[in-house]
Amino acid sequence: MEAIWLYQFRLIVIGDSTVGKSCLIRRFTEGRFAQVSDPTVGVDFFSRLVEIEPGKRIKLQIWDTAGQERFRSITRAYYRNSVGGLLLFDITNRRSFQNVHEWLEETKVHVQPYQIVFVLVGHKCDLDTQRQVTRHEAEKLAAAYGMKYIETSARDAINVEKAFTDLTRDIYELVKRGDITIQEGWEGVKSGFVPNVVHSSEEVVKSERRCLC
Amino acid sequence: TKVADEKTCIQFSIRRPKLPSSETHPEEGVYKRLDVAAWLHHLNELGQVEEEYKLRKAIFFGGIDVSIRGEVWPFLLRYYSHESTSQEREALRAQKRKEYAEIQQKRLSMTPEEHRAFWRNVQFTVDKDVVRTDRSNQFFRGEDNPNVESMRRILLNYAVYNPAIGYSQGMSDLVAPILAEVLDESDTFWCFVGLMQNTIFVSSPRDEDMEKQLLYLRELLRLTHLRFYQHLVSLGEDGLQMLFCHRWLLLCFKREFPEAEALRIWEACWAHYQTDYFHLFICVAIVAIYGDDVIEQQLATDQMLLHFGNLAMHMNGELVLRKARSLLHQFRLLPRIPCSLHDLCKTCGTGMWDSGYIPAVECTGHHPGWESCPYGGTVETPSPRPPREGKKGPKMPRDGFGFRR
Repeated sequence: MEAIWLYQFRLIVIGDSTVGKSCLIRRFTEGRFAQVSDPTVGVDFFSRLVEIEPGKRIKLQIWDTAGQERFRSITRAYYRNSVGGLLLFDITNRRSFQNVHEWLEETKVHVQPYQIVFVLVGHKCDLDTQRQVTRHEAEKLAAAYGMKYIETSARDAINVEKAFTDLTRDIYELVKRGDITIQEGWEGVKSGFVPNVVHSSEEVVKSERRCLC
Repeated sequence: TKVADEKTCIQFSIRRPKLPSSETHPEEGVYKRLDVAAWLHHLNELGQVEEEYKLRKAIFFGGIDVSIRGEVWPFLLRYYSHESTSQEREALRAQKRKEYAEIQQKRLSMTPEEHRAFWRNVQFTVDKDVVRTDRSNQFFRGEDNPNVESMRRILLNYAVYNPAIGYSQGMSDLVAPILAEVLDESDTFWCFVGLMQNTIFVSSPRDEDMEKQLLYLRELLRLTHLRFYQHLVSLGEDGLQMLFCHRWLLLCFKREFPEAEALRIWEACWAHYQTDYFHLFICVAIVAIYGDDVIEQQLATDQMLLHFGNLAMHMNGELVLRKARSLLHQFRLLPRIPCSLHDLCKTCGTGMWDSGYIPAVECTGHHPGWESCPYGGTVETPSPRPPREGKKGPKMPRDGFGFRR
């Protein structure tokens, strides 16, 4: 059964290959860190509920993409349908930081007429000794684009919750204020599902269906 | 707080564990797996493949025994020609080994500036990808595994050999199983070159290739599984992008089936039996066998992606292969094919319409500029069946190729 949620937000996670997009998403949605994961090819998405205020839940649908994705047919569909995004770079890889601009430009082309609320994420902050991008310059870049900046680590579970939850809150505020509205044919924000009856058999049903997942 | 995992809310039911006989290829079950004895039978005393077509057909239906994959794959990947003698192949290997060494030398003697660019565009990603590719395979397991180092060199050298393609993620997934069977680094490199040249679906970085594949697939679905096609249409542009099958195409189903089954599918595709596009028939087969819920529950684009994503590693590869072979057979029985799929035959070598059976090509009227389509009229056909009335517009059978259900 669907749990009760106010809205569904669709988020994308983008950035150069190997900056740790899939690991960040897995840490957030599954609570674990895989040392080794296959390079992402194609598209995948993961879901999780977050409680932004007591009793107020938002369902996040987080789309994971290949950092090297060059197929416009793929990119169009998921950029266009997103309300928020985490733009990742790897703090130990200066190149991935330099490419932040390219990613924003790329997104801009595909997303119009909609807009995406981005947060800039400096990932792998557990590897501070190998740091090639200072916090200061990342904050400056983020400010220049009107984004927030946060440093995360999927390995040590640092700021992972915060990165997603803060972004969710910001989007929620925009939705509340009417700056972002639900629109037909756009999957970025969907209105929630509030069932009248909560099935007592919920747990049973869940475990039955878990087998193939 | 974590409340619910979406995956727990999707219900699967795999309803068709078997195919009715009307949905199997008439030659199904005739061919055994190609083992050493059968393989030797295909070779003459000089080591030439006597009848290439027969060999490819046998592989298409029966697959190749694991013990001789390393020996036969180089033929399928067009590294060795079928006419070559054993002696010629040894000479070729020696020559190609030299060529490979030269390519590697070229890579190792870049100017510092070239090397910086190469490192940025290729090596950085390759280095990170090879150590996370096929780690569950014994062949690549462990720290400082020399086979991982071979895989790394092959990919780097390939990017030097073919700078226009360079490296895209997914290539490591394709090269790893070849290396694990062929074993020799230079031979694997040249097999991989053949793979990248002769298969259309591989992780090519170009937009047009993917678009072409998706276009053909949509048309095949329209022809063979109208209900599913209509569901996609009802979802609009996003549905027709078929996000759920992109990885299928890019990695040739490698992440959808356990390795043994995935490699059987690779061999069936590489056999190029009657079509260069067998992988699209595999896609249709998956949809036909596992897609009923999508239609019945009217799944949206994202749910559809989740549905097929969750099926990964839980599908029956043998069943899918059998269904795909049957679909190809049925496709060949069509008295006419839509102009949109005309290229699907045109780009094939001998074999697609080899039995003197040439279907008529008919304009579907579904594409821009159809008024001037060269297939606007019905081409005369040696088909035994009389041509249908009406020349324009979609005149396809309503559901499937006329399978009895």
